[in-house]
Amino acid sequence: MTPIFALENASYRYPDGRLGLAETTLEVRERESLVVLGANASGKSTLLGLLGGLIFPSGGRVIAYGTALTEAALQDGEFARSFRQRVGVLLQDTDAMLFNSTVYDEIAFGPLQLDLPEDQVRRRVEDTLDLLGLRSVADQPPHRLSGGEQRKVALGAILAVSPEVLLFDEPTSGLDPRFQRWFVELVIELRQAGKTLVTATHDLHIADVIADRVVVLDEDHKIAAEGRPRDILTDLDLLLSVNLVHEHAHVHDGELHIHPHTHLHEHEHAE
Amino acid sequence: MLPEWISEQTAARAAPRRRHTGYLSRSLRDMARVVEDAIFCEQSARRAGFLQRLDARVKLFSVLALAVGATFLHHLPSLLALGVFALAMLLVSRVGLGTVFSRSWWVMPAVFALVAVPSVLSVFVPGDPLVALPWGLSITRQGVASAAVLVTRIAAGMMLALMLALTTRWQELLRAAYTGVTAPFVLVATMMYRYVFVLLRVAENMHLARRARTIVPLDAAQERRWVGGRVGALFLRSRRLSEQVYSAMLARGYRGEPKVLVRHAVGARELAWVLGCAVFLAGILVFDRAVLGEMAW
Repeated sequence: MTPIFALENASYRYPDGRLGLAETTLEVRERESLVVLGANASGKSTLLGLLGGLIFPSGGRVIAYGTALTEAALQDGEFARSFRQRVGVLLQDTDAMLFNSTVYDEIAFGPLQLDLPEDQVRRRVEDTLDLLGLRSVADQPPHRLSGGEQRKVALGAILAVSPEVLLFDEPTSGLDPRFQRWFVELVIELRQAGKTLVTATHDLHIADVIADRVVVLDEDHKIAAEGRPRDILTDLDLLLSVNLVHEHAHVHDGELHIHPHTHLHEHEHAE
Repeated sequence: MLPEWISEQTAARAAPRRRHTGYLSRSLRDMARVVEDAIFCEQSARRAGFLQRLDARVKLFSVLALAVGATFLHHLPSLLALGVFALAMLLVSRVGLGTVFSRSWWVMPAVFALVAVPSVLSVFVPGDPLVALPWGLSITRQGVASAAVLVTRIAAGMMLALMLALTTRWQELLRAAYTGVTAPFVLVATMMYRYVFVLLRVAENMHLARRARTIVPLDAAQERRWVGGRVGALFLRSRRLSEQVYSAMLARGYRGEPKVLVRHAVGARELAWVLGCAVFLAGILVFDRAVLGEMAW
């Protein structure tokens, strides 16, 4: 598969000097579903920000579609327009994502910025509302909706642009199992539609189901491992060292046992 | 291993007497009221009434036209007719009398004190005395008539404003103001309205979190320090949020010039409403000039 993104020793420091991401080299290939696993503050959001052209590396380079992502490159009208059309970013904070006064306007915002004709914008909004089951709340202010509905609106706002690449930052964080299942089903459909997906999460269940490839960031903000989901998710020592599983203490047969603990497990499908 | 003191019962110290520092609670209560008020307005604007169904742009235009028309009315009955018309429209639109008066009564004492009371006196409006007062003053017939016109004009204007405010959601009202030129300002106003509530919610949560952990009341200096600290924290939060919002806008193709979808639906109902308003306005203007203009009020 052709790489769409390439991080070449890319690093990022916040303006106050804190390290967001240590020197990282990574490729994102066309049509793959890459999951970036890491504990809180390991640099997942920073990595997504770099890929999405929202922040720029302090060192190294980020290449997207053969062009280095720099502030200057994204000032260039043609490249910026094509990049924003091709790459959609779902931020973790829905308060930041949802800045319009109604769900309808929220979904229409992206297509409108791309100068699509008005009838096409309307059609995309209508289709997105139907796809996500948001038709009944189309005229409501997004901040009045439940957490799951708000996340759906934020997703709809991205999907309406129809990007080739979707960058999801903690898409299921703090949401109930029904939303998590819905999200997994959506990702499966998006993969079938040929989209490239990069999902930053610390939810191992999601990684297990949606990933083609997994990258693990450690608490020093660098890549600790990269590989197939099964190899990564069964390496309990690795997961313990990067704070993705915890040691579970319990009393068994009168003795205290302490061992790495994950909720991942095999299950049988009913015939 | 938990420390030993965690399983011990800690006796609370008797609270020392403090000077009352209720300004913080009052401010936060006021903030909560702002939120409730907006929600309350939204509720009446969401009812399936006549005015609520009208396109916001048409409603804004017609209310402005009626307000401009009101400035040409000079007689009590015509102004009264305008006020009654607006009130009737509110009632037809399922906005109760209680709601209308709860949102307008507080203006009336100020109107009476500042406008009505001085203007009935002979010193401001000389004329035929109705009631004699000390120091050679009197309440004049012309003064009472002019005060009645002033008060009725204000009340009618208020009814027109409520006709718009209680039946139109804020975002629809803002959207009604969207044109090519105003789009950036309206977008900023929309976002400001939205994020004021986000930050009010954060401020309220900060206060609740502190109250949940306050055993002994703080003195005024400590209160001030806490408020100062929280104002700073809120400022930082709002700055971070603004950066994230900007990122979210950039990620969705924003390039410095917002483009918005103007969704106005002008149908037969709107045309009938505009026509009705025009006929009514023309009617009371003629009534005011041709009929009442000849009469002494």
